[in-house]
Amino acid sequence: MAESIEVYYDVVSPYSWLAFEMACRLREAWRISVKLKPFFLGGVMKASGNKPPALVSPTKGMHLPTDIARLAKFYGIPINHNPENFVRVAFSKGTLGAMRFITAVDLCCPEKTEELSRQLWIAFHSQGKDITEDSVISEAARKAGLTDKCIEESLADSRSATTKNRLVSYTQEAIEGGAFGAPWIAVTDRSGKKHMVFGSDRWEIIADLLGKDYPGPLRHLSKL
Amino acid sequence: MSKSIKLFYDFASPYSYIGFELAKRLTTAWKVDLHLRPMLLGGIFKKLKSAAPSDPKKVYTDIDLKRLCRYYHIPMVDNRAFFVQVAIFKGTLIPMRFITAIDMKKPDITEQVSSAIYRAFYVKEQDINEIDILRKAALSCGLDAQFVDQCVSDMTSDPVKNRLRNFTDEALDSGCFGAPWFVIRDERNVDHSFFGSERINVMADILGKEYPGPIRQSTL
Repeated sequence: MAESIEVYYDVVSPYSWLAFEMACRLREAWRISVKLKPFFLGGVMKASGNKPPALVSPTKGMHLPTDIARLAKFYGIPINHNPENFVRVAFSKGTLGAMRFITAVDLCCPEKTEELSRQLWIAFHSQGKDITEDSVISEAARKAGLTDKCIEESLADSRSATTKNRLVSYTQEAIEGGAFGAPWIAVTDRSGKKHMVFGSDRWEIIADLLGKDYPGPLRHLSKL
Repeated sequence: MSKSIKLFYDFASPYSYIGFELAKRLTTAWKVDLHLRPMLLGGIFKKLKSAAPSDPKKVYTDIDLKRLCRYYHIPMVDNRAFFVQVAIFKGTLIPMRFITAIDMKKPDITEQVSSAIYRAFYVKEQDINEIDILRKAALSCGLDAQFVDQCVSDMTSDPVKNRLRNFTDEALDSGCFGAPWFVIRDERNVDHSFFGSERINVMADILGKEYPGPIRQSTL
């Protein structure tokens, strides 16, 4: 039975970016199958009744920028956390549009999904741009190597039933697996058993489940 | 300037139990000072009016704790209902005052007695609100009966109550919102606060030490 890692993520989440980059590095280091599963965190929060960490208590919220900055430095990921932009994009407008766009691209050209997701994270969490705007999404897509034609088609496809249903289906899959936040990682071990892991800080446990050595942050395998 | 790890902990929290055990292993491996700060987690939650975890999160916590304990070779019996009943419904004011009383008189033995109390709760499934259980834990560390009895009566004294309150306030002042709460002091005497036991590799980086992996020889 092939071992694999499935990463459910939403580009709204900086911790999802950390998990995503680590998974991409481990794909190389462990020669393991990594499947990216763009989902909608808003849907997961609603279904689970969970609150984003910043809303558990203001004190917890105040700790997050420090935590993210330290982790970003540790993993070599250029997060420049801007609470104002983050709140505006995450809480008032939401990332449904961005996640539908990623889904549309994943359905037509899945080889572009990884770099597109990365460019959207960069736009939002590194450059403080508003990824609810089509122009920002298009610019990120261009940087990921999509042609203008593909971008136009994907923007249109974002609104199709097929795309919407696929995003719902990955989100539902995560919820049924017990998800209450992002990143949500499904680890399949050698015997075919699936283990659900929450967050970007259980890589030693994941290594253990897969019978692999934990290799540290693997900064040298960074694609940034 | 001495690099150190300061740990704010409460027996109530199974993650604190893991954090306490890891703090001991790390400070030994890295040869840095360990400063224990028994605090009252209930006091933190009350002050901050923290939101309770959702049901799927509670289900996940059960699995997460089992996996962590298995990975780190930290003994913990499978009896979440009991831990929740004691820690959340009864609270841990009594054991936290007891360890505070001990710490105020013999800080050298705090680590050992804390280990014994953690073991009584999470391994032997004993109600650590019972004075006799706390007494036994302290006696098992080689403390004499007279001293232990003195600590039992000191528990309800103002100095002990105030000290527990002070350490809890100290935690809050450093940004604490849960347990375990680590405050790492680096070589420039700068403090870095961490929630949970999930940032050991980042702590290693800050202290200029090697990340040591799980260090599986349990000290419990």
